[in-house]
Amino acid sequence: MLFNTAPFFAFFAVVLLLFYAIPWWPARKWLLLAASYYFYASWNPKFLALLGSLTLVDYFCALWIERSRRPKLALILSLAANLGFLGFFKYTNFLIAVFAPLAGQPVRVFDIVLPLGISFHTFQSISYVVDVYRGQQTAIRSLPDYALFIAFFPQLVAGPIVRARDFFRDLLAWQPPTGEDLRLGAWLILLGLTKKMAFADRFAMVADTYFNSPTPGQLTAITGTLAFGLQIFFDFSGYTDMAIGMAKLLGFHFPENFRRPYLASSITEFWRRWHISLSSWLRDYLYIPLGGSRHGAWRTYFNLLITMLLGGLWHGASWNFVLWGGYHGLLLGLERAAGLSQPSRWLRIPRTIITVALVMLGWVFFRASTFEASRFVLTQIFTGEPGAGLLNRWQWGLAVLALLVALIEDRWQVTERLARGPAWIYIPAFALMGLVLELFGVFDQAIPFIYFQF
Amino acid sequence: MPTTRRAAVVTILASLASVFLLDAAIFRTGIYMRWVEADSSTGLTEYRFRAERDRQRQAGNLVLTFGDSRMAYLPRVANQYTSKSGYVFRHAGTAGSSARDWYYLMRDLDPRANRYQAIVIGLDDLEDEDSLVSRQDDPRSLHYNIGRLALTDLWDFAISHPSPAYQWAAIRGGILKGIVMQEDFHHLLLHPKARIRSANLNWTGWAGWAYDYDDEERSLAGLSIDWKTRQLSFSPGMDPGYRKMFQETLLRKPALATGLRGDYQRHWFGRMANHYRNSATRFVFVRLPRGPLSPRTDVLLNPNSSIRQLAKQPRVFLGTPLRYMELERPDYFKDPLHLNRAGAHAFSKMLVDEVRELIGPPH
Repeated sequence: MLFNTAPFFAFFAVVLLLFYAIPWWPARKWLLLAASYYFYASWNPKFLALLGSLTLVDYFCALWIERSRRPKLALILSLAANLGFLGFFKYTNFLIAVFAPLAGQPVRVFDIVLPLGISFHTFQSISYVVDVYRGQQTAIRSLPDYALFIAFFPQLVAGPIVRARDFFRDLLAWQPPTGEDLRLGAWLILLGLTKKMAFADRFAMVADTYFNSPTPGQLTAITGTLAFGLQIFFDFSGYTDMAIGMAKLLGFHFPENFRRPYLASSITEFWRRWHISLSSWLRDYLYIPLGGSRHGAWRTYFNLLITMLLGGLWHGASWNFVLWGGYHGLLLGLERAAGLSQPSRWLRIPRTIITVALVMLGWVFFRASTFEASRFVLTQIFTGEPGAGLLNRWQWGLAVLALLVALIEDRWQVTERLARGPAWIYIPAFALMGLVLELFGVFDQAIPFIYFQF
Repeated sequence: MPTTRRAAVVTILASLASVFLLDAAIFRTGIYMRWVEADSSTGLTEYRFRAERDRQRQAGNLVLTFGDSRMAYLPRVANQYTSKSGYVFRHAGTAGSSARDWYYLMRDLDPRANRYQAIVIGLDDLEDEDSLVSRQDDPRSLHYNIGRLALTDLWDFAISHPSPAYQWAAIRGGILKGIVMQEDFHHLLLHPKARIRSANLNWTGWAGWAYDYDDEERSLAGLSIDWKTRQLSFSPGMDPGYRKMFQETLLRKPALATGLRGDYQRHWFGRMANHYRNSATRFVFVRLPRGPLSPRTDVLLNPNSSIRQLAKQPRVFLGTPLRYMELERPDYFKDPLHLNRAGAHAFSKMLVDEVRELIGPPH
């Protein structure tokens, strides 16, 4: 059930109605848990066992950590289970492809299906267990509560990666959503749907055509890459908006995951605005434990590089993702070395343009299917013949419209104001957004969300 | 002041309604249809609708015909015989359309069932064998009818498509018409000046151009077939693509009669006939010339086919099956399916004669 399909909305409507029709809170929690497992099973019921197993392991490990004198053992067990499953499903074939030739063995690829959302729920579990180990989070006593934390359907398959303290603050002292929450939630669902179907899917058609078989031409390569850069932003932030919106309608509050990343004036700022729940996870559970910036400049650059390399690898098991992560790690290090990681008021516009250009170049590694394809596209961008652009007039119009909306939102936080503002502004704004969705949305094919594959 | 939950729910419901109302204001009031691309499925239907509705004010004793592109008759030629026949012929069919599309257009053109002396439908054959293209699950149908569909038609129209995907597309598009008009709107955004210019031209000129249209002169003269060996002989310079078309039409093996086409025709032609049940309007089915090369005989596959059953109803008439056999010659066709100018002229006159014979003089 993709978020942008009618069956999912039917499912969500039923869950919402039942949730508020049931007067007893424990029953509501059971309903959410059952709905979440149903949602997950609708993709592939076999992986429910995996989800359930990891849930049990982490639930008991957290209790063990809290009660035991040797908590490290429980922590190691939990990490081994989570990373073991993640490694097996996601990286087995990659590692075989890397090491088999080194050992003089033929490469034999296994038919391994990646369980949906495994990268997200394992990271969410790890953060919980580590927080318990660090004494920053008490172990959850109720197994259904913990299971709901891991499986909660709005964020199960593609985040945001919710911290336990945020989730249980809502769950253990649940309050019905305020009027503003309801309005904001409905708005975010429509906004996310519009981002996905009217923007991401439109740009996906251009990006897929180009990257599935890249053709020569500088402008062709630039517009193809730009199309993917726009696609991935609208796709992922659209999904996140919907997830946050649905959670709000159910009385839960997810953290912000995107804050207009293409307005960032440095790569450092970009990562504070892009996939915030992952970058803050990498910071808290990888970069800082590695030493962060506490051991001198070179060690800081090294830590940044390692963090981003692993962040790249988290996205997918291929050298292209490693290169993408390494590229960002390198840029973060260079920025820090050059003292450019802090925003500059006077050079904001040129630095934003340079930052976006650098991020777009990075997307080539992310999207191209092979290293050779990445090299071809980059060669075309820098030294290709002029070629023809791939975006037509109204696609440019959509991009400019999105930029204007982002600038307005960045300056005036329109979304928040809209939720709190008078109905006579909210209703026409909702209608206009609906019109954009119906006139530009891709309805005839349900294009999967990019981050569902991670 | 904080918004109460009740007020928020009301606002959200009003917002959802406002999406529909905004769509309706644009696509249900005629505002957008004024600028629709004439050379599109929706545009053709809408221009046709407006032309025929306007024509109703100007002439009496109207006979309205429906058919797809194979119904290559020319009302202008047919009306040269009005003094003899007593009827003014009009045509509301469009290429690629079928019974479902004709029903909605006919219903909107004649809501009280009193504006036409007869409704004439041109058919490929009178049987229920499955046709080359599935008419039931035709995605074009939504585009032909989108300007005609009211909310009350939604369910009926949607379930007339067998596949759930088309049913859902019909419900979705029937509620928010902008979804169906997307492509047209994108084209308008890309070429606004050209669209406005052509819309202004079409607004005044389309009906006249459509009426004055004359078919192409090219013919298939020189084409022949040996029916024993089923070998075709092409004249030099003939489009090689026609060979495939002949294989799929003239030489194709008998198709399955799954019942789907019969059900479809029974349903939609039945509704059309039912629309005129208590009126004086007659309903006529005619069989179109089959093709440039056709056997001299006809095989009756099903004496109780949907069309033959419908023809048993009062005021429903069935034309003679091989009435137009003399037109089934290569020199009357421009391609394996369509009459050329000479064929269309000859057919138009013969159609007037047949309709006049079947329904008699105007009343």
